[in-house]
Amino acid sequence: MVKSQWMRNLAHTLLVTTIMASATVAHAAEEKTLSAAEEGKKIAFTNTKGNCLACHMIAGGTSPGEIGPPLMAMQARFPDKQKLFDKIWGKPGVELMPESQMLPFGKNKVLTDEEINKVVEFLYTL
Amino acid sequence: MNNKLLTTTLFLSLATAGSYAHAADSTPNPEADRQALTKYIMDMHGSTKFNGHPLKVEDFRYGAYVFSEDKFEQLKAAEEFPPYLDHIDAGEKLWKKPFANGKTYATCAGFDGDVKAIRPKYPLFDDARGEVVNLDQAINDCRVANGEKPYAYGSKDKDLDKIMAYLGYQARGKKINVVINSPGALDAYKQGEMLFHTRRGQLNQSCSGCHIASAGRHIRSNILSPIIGHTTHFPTYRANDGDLVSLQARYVGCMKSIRAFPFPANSKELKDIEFYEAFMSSGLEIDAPGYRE
Ligand code: HEC
Ligand code: HEC
Repeated sequence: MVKSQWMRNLAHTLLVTTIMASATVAHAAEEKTLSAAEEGKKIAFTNTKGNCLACHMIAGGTSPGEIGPPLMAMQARFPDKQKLFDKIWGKPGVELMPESQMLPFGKNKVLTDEEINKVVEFLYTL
Repeated sequence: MNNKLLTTTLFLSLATAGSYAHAADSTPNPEADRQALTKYIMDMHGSTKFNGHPLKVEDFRYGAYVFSEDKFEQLKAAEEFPPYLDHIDAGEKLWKKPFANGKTYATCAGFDGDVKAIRPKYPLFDDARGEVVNLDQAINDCRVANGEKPYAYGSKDKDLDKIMAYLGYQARGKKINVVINSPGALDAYKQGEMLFHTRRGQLNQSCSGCHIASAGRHIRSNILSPIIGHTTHFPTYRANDGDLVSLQARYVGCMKSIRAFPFPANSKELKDIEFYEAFMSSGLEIDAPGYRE
């Protein structure tokens, strides 16, 4: 029992490693056409992905919502990239207001960590 | 650029948004809640002008339209040739058509007497059954009592919604008056309130986040309506659907939009939410059927 559990874990680790490796390769290939920031912009503006425009004014986006603050001067406001990532991911303690409607994109698996990283790259251009 | 100043300004604009802390105390007092909520929403939108006068609570029967002159003009234009007149006529026919046993809806308890007085009685808390009964359910109960099949909630033929459109139209101008005078009723109200304020779904949103804290603001190109007024105009003709939509179906729609597993139409949960929303809309005029884009 213990052994098969261990083997399953190993198999899982291998699988994940393979997926990650191939994702990296695929990513590298895409890089030629789209930068991480450009991909992040797509994710942020797509309804079924980040849909950030539903709530935030973002330069370059049309009909923005007005539920959250405008996303601008992001490098100045989040000099620490990790803090920005954590805010979007939904790490505990990053909410500004108790009733904040900002969603925990990573925690609730709306976006993957990789996607959030790209969104962070995009926000850093604002 | 002065980044510090910018950060401060942004933070202040956020902070003024405030938050509506609903009372979680041990002595529930719906009327005090209603007044506090009304004050909260009016304080937030006190400077809004609507239709040539300062915004009044009663105006919220127009929902999000009070926040946009353009959209209100569209509403008025649509109301000149209301797209729901056929539905009202069809509803009247269905209402008057005898059941197989020869009786009509008007013979059921609650439906006897003045047809204009029916819609304002609902939703009510039925102490004998220990549950909220809304108009949808009362109509179905009457059918079952007369040996007919109940309508399926949210079904495509909309016959139930047409009947409700007719009864709502008859009651236009009458006021919403939800009675809470028993422990059971108070409990249903508290449940409804709790559900309204609970976050759910993959997008982690609560009804209150959109319809209290952000009421009057844009969510992309939509403007969010406040909870007050939500029950005045249902069923509503939705231009996007080209058909009537019941309040219960609208609830299901909002829950799907936040990627939550929706409570089914007319489940205990959604009837409790309706009870809470209706109480919060007390004193507003019934304006059904409504029109929404
Ligand atoms: C349903 C509304 C909503 C959506 C959708 C949304 N946000 Fe937010 N966001 C908010 C609110 C409200 C705040 C302010 C309160 C807070 O910080 O939690 C906020 C705050 C933020 C902040 C912090 C800003 C600051 O100056 O402190 C960042 C960064 C952010 N959002 C990024 C994003 C990104 C990126 C997306 C899309 C991937 C997104 N948001 C989608 C509502 C939303
Ligand atoms: C993420 C935002 C969001 C959440 C959360 C949400 N709604 Fe909505 N709701 C909307 C939008 C957008 C509309 C259409 C614009 C309007 O009329 O408010 C709407 C419309 C409605 C309407 C119709 C208003 C009218 O005047 O016709 C009702 C009733 C309603 N919502 C109830 C609820 C309830 C109950 C919940 C919780 C179970 C809920 N909503 C959760 C965004 C939301």
